[in-house]
Amino acid sequence: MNHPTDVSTYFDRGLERLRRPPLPLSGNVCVDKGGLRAQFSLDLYGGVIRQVAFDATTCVTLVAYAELLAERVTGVDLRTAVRLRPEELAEALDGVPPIKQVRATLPLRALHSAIHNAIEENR
Amino acid sequence: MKVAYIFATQKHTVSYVLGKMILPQLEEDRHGVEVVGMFFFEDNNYVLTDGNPIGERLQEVAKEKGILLMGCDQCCYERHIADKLLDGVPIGCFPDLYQALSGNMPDQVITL
Repeated sequence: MNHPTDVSTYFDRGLERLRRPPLPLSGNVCVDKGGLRAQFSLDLYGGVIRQVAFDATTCVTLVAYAELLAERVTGVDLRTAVRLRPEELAEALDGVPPIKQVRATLPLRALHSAIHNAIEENR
Repeated sequence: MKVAYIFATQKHTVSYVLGKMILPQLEEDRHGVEVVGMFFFEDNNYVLTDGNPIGERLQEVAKEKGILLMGCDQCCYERHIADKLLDGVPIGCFPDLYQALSGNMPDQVITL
């Protein structure tokens, strides 16, 4: 049975989100040392993240972290979203072996890139 | 000849084919080929969990002979065992498996 902090649950929801088209405010494609990729896009309203989309290599751990992050920052203002740390994502998802927890970093980089580009566009 | 085994079916392959055939043969150096890796799908991953008696014997042989053991990451997450495997046994998917085997490629990949 899946419970809320479960990798499989977030992976399934992440796969659904992957199939959605990108949103207006895109970040850069971020790539890690292993060649995994992630790119976030946002829809903002009044400085608050209204919707999140992402594209990512379909690694189960990466997609689960990306989905967790997307759900965490939806409805959150940019300043709060940008303060999230990889350790917080890693702690929030049960059952990931320590060696794979580093995959929490890539979605955060991709989100930060989207936030940065969103701020630059609105200057 | 170098081979890699993929345990994909749920047909008694771990406790029987691995546990009573391949593993004893490896332990006795009479398997007949060099095994470079083993990859596990679905419930077959339970053999890789810490404390599993077949898994522990398998790990010992794998360390001695340089055999890669890897569990399917999605299968392990689904079963909530990804962080409960034998020490040093990784989870991964096909790209991880091929990368791990790239320095010692098998001549045959055998699906059981």
